[in-house]
Amino acid sequence: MTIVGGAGELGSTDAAVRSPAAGRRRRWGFSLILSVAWLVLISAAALLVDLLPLHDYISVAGAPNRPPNWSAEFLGTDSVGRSQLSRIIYGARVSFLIGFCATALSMLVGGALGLLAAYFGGAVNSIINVLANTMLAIPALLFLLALSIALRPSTPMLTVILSVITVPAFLRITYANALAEMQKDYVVAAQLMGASTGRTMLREVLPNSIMPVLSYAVLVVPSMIVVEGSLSFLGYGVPAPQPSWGAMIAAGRARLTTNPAEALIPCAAMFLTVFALNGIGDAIRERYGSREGVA
Amino acid sequence: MITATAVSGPEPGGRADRAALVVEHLTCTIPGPDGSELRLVNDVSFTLAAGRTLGIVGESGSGKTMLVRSIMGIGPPTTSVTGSVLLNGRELLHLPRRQRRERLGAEIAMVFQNPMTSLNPVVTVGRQISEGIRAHLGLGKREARARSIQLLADVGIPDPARRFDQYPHELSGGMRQRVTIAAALGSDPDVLIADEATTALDVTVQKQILVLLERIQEERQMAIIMISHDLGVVSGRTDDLLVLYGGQVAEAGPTRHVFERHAHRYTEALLRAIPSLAAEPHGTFATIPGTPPRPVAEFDRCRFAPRCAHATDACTAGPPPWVADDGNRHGHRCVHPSDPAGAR
Repeated sequence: MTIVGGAGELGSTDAAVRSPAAGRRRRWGFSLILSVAWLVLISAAALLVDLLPLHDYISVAGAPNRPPNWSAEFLGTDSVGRSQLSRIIYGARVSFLIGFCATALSMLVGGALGLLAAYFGGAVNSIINVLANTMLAIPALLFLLALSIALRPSTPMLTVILSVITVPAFLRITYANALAEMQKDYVVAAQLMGASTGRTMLREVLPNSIMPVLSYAVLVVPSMIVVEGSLSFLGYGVPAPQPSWGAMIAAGRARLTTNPAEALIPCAAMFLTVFALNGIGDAIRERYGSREGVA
Repeated sequence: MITATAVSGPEPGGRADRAALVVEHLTCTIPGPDGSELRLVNDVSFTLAAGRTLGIVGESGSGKTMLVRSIMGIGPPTTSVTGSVLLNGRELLHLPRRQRRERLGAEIAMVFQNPMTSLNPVVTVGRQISEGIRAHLGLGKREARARSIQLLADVGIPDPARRFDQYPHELSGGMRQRVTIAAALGSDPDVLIADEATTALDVTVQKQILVLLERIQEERQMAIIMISHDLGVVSGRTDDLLVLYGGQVAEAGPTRHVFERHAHRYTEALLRAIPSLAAEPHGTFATIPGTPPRPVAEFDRCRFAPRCAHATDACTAGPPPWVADDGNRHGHRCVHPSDPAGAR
């Protein structure tokens, strides 16, 4: 009797312990696998595009305005006969490059400013805060359009301009986390051991406040891709011969009734990419983003 | 100016009586939220000889922590500190940052109250110990590692070579406190400040850490400042005692003498508040009514008077003078001392 009761109790505890893990496994399910598969496929294609037997994105591959079909150019051609497949893959290159680089740059600048503001406080903090508030007060898309129209930027320049819009967000997140870490004894202890300002910031405060910043960055990448797409759609994104999903959608819009695939395929590519990045970002945040468990 | 002085003289045993730390007229103020000036530490002076232990006791808010932070120069940026702190005969206050950095850790080190937060969670414990050693002693990576492992062994950590590569979360609270002690000892400091270093630990671990500190002090002739609100912790383990009240020294002297012939009514009340096994079970604890004075409260009268059962008009008429008994190196700041014969 007792033994059976005991075993039952043990069993139920075991199940209680296991169920959250099982729940987590379920979330690592179908859509996540598809997301990873899509990203692997598209980024492998983007990386290896020069090795693939494809037309380049600028030369004519066949008759113009061909819909998707069962040939080597299975995604069809655009209005001047360029390969849609090549342009989607080269477009992915641009999207990923801008998405990741703009995010990284933004994180670097915002993170550094946030860390400085938290560490030095006082006047440094006030100046940085005024800068951040000023930037937040300007509508992001308006700011981007104004700069793009005025400067007609190259792709690297566009990356820099895009990175500016999320600097305040990265700044605030880094600032808040760094400020919380700085109150902890180990930072004071390091200073008491004679650690320099730079060392204390980079070795003690930064590594302990970076996780929430990184998990935010994972979500910024897809939104950067969308913003770049919007700019290109409006005609002020990456300069002309360079393919971009946004520009391809804009071009296809004119022939939406005769050749809907021309606009819908880049739409699908962007949708899948952003959906996949967001899904993976959420999964990562769920597993590693929470800092609650760490003392 | 009135000062409290607890000078540690030479002992019959012939221990070194070189002054490791001389604090004089240390006053620490910060601007209050309404622009007024908060005086957290008021005119504190003491001398600590090498190889001796000074206990600093007082309630929460009595200025214990601000006192040591002022000594180390790590208060909030708005703190203003006046007075003098001579460490090994050389002024430590108001040094240029670089020069102070060279001396912090090498000459004076500190162990914190909470071992759970005083280690960097993302750096191995070995690196946290060896980095200070490398910076201050100029050792190479290999030598610093060897020395760190030796230090870990010294503070009683079993299997130190394996622990060296572990992260703080892999260690228990007691182990972590040993690691912080090892890190503090890394560069052989002359003064070690233990700020409630055992308060967050189990009683059994507490005892182990205290014994460890005592042993290390014997071996290295290090001066220790032991801060605590627990008179039981300081009673048997300190040579001198400084009772802090409202940022001011209420009473100071050799520990045994202060315990036996305490004069200040606040010390008396503190001693009465120690729970004792002889006390009646389920009885009420002796407490001190009221709360510690706020740092804005007047310093022109006895700080303890509002809570003191023996207070008279004389206590609030002016700042109570420092009454010193130089023969016993014992002094207090009480108008109506409980044991006038002992300290006068």
